[in-house]
Amino acid sequence: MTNPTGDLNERLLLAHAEADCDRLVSLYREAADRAEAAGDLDRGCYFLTHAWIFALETARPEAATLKARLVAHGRDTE
Amino acid sequence: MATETLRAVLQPIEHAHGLPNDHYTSDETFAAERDPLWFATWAGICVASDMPETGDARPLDFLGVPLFVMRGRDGAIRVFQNVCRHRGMILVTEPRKIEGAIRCPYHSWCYSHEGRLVATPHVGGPGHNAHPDIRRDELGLIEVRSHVWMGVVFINLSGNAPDFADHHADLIARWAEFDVPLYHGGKDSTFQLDCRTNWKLAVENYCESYHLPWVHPGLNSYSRLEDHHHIEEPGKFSGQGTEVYRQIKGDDGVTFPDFPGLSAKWDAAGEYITVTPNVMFGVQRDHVFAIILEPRGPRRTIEHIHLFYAAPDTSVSLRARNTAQWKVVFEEDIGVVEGMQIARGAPGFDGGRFSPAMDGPTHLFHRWVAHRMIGDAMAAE
Repeated sequence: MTNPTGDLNERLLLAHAEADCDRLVSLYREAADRAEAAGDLDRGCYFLTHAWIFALETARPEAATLKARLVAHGRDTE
Repeated sequence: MATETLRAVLQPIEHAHGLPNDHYTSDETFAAERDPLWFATWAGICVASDMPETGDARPLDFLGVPLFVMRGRDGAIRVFQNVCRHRGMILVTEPRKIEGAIRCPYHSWCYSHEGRLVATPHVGGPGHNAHPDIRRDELGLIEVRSHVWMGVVFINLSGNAPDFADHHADLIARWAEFDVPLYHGGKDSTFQLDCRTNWKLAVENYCESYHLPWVHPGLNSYSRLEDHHHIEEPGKFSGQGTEVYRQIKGDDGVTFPDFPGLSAKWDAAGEYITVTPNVMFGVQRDHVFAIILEPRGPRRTIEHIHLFYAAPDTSVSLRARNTAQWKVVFEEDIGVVEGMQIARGAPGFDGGRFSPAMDGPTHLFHRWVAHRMIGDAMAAE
């Protein structure tokens, strides 16, 4: 199961409700890491995309790293 | 018929009539004015100080066209159509600071401060953020030509007007001494007036000094009619000037600092000119004001008033006094511009006549409107 469950799902919903982009970045990255660790690359890139978008919106420096991971997986262009 | 009535406006002032009623009352004529008077010219939309910091963005409705204005990381002000290139969603719905990308709230396509499309999440399917048929370099935000002058953000929506600096070269040269940093006085130096009138009546009234002794008796106590002169540049701008500008003083006798380097001409001079279509400027030795007219249909206009100074740290109490003084003056004008609007409901009103001695600047504005409405060729016939 690679969808966010239990505590992570609750934390994501709360971060969305509070429009807390910083937490959304870290929580979606956590979801992506879990999915990739479980071998579900598609799901991982889905969550990684969300982490990247919220990092872009808030000008967080890790946006570049997140984008690089997506590019490395063939999910985006340079 | 419409062209004939506009030809009457183009006659020499001794014989000319003013614009016909429909230019003040008709929704159809209001819509017809949009392209020639607003979109094809340089219109003022806000002041640059509305976006003081990097990432400050502000949405605007420009005669039905959704725009947003933003200060980028390079400090430049840019104006964009407020429309995502994906499904046409509005991007910015309230004034706010955008730290990073401009993210569409619908499907999260993201744009840089310069308008480049930088992210298209899931565009190739879940977790696939690119698609060969969606070329990001072709799908940036649509930028509107803009130019900041005297603290005001001007736009040319059609994109084909002459450059602002060329189009207004004469006025820029005339006021070259005011090409210095202008500091907006802040919240105490801006206010709005909601007027039940057509925007053109506000311009017409602003252009002439004829009404001053009757409508502004307080001003006339020291600023007599004979102390004013016309400013007339056909096809470019018009307004009035005074020779007896007197600085406002605080209870302690303090005045605002002068703009640096002004020539002696400005010791007691003030000039009040409309940059067509909709920005009415006033310049004096110690402060400048801009009135940006925002039409809300043929019968309603919001006046956005902003005052600028020569220094960033002027007296708070003196600024408040100055704002209050101008507010009284501009509110005194509301009665006449709303009264003229009501009068435009009279069938058969022929646009009225102009005093050849006193109404020259107002007639020039009417001519500018009529000329742009019927075009160069027909105006020349």
